[in-house]
Amino acid sequence: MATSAREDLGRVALGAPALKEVFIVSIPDCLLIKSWARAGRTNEEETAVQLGSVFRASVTALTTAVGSEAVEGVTVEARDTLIRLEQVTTGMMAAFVFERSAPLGLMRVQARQLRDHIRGSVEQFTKPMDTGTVKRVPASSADRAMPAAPRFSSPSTEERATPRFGPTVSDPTGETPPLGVPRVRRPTQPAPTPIFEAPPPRVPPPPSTTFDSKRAADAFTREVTPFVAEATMGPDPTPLPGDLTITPQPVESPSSEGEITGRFDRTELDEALKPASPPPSPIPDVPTRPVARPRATRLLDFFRRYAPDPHAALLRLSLRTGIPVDLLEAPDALDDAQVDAIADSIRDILGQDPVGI
Amino acid sequence: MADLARIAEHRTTLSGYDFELLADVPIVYHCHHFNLFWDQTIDDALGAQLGAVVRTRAAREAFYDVIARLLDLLAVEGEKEQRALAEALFATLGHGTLRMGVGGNSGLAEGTHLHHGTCWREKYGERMYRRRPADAVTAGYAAAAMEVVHGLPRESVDATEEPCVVLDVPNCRFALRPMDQAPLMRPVLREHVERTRLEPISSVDETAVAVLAERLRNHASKLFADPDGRLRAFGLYFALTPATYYNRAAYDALRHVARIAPQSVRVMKALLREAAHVGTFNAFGHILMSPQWETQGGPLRGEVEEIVIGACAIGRAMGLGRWCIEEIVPHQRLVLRVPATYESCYYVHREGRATEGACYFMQGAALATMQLAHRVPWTSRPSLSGDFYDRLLEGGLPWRVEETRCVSKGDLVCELVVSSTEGANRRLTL
Repeated sequence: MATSAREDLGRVALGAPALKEVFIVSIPDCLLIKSWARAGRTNEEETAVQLGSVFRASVTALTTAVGSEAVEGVTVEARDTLIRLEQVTTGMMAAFVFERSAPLGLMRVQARQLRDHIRGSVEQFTKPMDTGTVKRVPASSADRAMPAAPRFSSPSTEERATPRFGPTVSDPTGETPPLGVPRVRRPTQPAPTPIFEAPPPRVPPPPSTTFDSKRAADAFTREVTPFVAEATMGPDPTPLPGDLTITPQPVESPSSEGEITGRFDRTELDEALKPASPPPSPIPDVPTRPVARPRATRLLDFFRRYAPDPHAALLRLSLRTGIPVDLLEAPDALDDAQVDAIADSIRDILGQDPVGI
Repeated sequence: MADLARIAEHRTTLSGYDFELLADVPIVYHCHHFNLFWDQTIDDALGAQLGAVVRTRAAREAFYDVIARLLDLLAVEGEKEQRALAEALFATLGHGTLRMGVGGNSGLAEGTHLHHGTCWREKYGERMYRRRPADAVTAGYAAAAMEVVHGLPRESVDATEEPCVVLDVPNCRFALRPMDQAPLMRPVLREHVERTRLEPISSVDETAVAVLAERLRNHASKLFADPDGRLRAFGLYFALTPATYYNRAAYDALRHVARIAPQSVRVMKALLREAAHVGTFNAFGHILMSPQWETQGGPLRGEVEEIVIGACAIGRAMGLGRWCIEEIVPHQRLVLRVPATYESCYYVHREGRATEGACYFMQGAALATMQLAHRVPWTSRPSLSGDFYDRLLEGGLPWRVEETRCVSKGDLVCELVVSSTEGANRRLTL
């Protein structure tokens, strides 16, 4: 099954029309890992900080009030918006922003389904590979000619199509990458192996009028997985052996579990999921966010958040590293040595490592 | 107590300059906000290791004059007595408690409640860790005391702090050992300050400024450190330190930065100004908000002129120089003049002729004065907490400062002009 990232996002929106925004946020530092929005937004990083802070405060409040009971989720009800905060892992939470018209139960169910799927993906990357999920590549005709592709080296969709990484990461037909391949990865990021036992058959999806949470979650996870994994594992993951591969999880047919009916625009949904032609996205121009924030940006965000005397934080870094303040304010242009110097300075100033960055 | 009284006898005010002197050595009150930030800037510029060395040497030189002159003036004889007076002096200045010759080992000193270390813990300890000791000032003091008490050549004892309270140990310890004598520097004492030509100037509302300054000076003279050697006043910790300590550490560090990373000189100057800004804002703000101020100056109305006059009086009483208001246009402009700052006096004697204003403390203090006058809702009596300060600077500074005249450049006075930025770049870089 081949699909594009934009269609993935469209499917998420189709599956949960009341879902407006999703933020994946690291905790406790409340840094944005990944976000998605139906409509444009410009202050997603600040929003992530605030949402993460709400979640942290809720955990603290609960602990204070009733002891060490774990927080399952936090719901924020506003006049026009519902927000559900879910803990994904110990170091990560997700915030799902819904329209206020969504029933609370539905919102909770959808949020948890998405959360569970994200969590599953994270665990897949963080726990040691076991033989149940790793298989030797079969010598299928499609894969026999493939070189031993570097597992963690595909930085982008565009790069993936180049001979540098061989054909393993792109569809032999030259079309869009197969499902299960993260759309964008950076060289240091762990990722599921792009090698499949065989190209999945092109089977049109069965028409469905129900909320396909699994597919929606799959689609969303493909968007967030690289960032989730990166945030969880850090920059130096243990590489997989070159001839091993992860068996992609089969896409299940729509299940009755979690089936939601009656709330969606069935006509639009049916039309969108017609099998005969590529499904028209109800949101044709959903802008895709910048998918990865450079390490320097994340380091500086971390520092701004934790530095004493925040108004002077950049000046202190500049004095310590010799990097002009103007450059620190536009950190994308920093080279590796400069970023390392920044990391060292942050470590010295705060007395601790910038966790996970 | 007897020691306190004997030491206090040798505190004087240098008329015309409004500098505080102890045994004819210029000393200044600074609060812990300033002291921590100033030292931190030196360390940021030089690295923690070299920064500590530079600050220790600056403190050693600065305190040597005070200790040696005081022992001489008080005619204290005998090693034990001299050591006791050196320890008492340290506590009197608000730097904490220092014990020399711990366990009979003259090469070991122990400190408790030290100004820098304990204040660092109180201000930052819950938010961050520190991997390096914080009490270079005490290390320098201990080295100077050892030189004086044991009759060793000046600048010939090295001191390092090993365990420090910032590293989660109960007390700070200092190892003292002889070293090759470092080059001696030209002193900056009363007679040297008086060589700086004094331009007799007065302030707008001079009477009000002078009266308030005198009252505050009288009040300050009754402030004594507690038995732990901590000088708590107006909700802050203060310490009296020879001006040479701040000057030598900063100018030495600036010279080093100019040599190895000239692009960072402006940044360092901005941070030195910020040290002055945070220190002046907190110290002056807490004094203005205090019951003692209300007793002496009446309840605050929160008017711009009132706050600026108050700031000038406080500056004079703290030994920071004869602050005079030359011009004030609320919300627009403030011009302060000082016959000589403790920085410019040092600069002309040690560094030579400057090409631009070199009074970084005074620049930051002038900015803080404008902040206090315009951005604090005095009548609602806000808590001048760290959060308040951070919020105040979230959007940067709405003022810029220029030292249009400076004694270190050959001018007759130092003149600071603070003006509104009015939408220009408000970044702290200044």
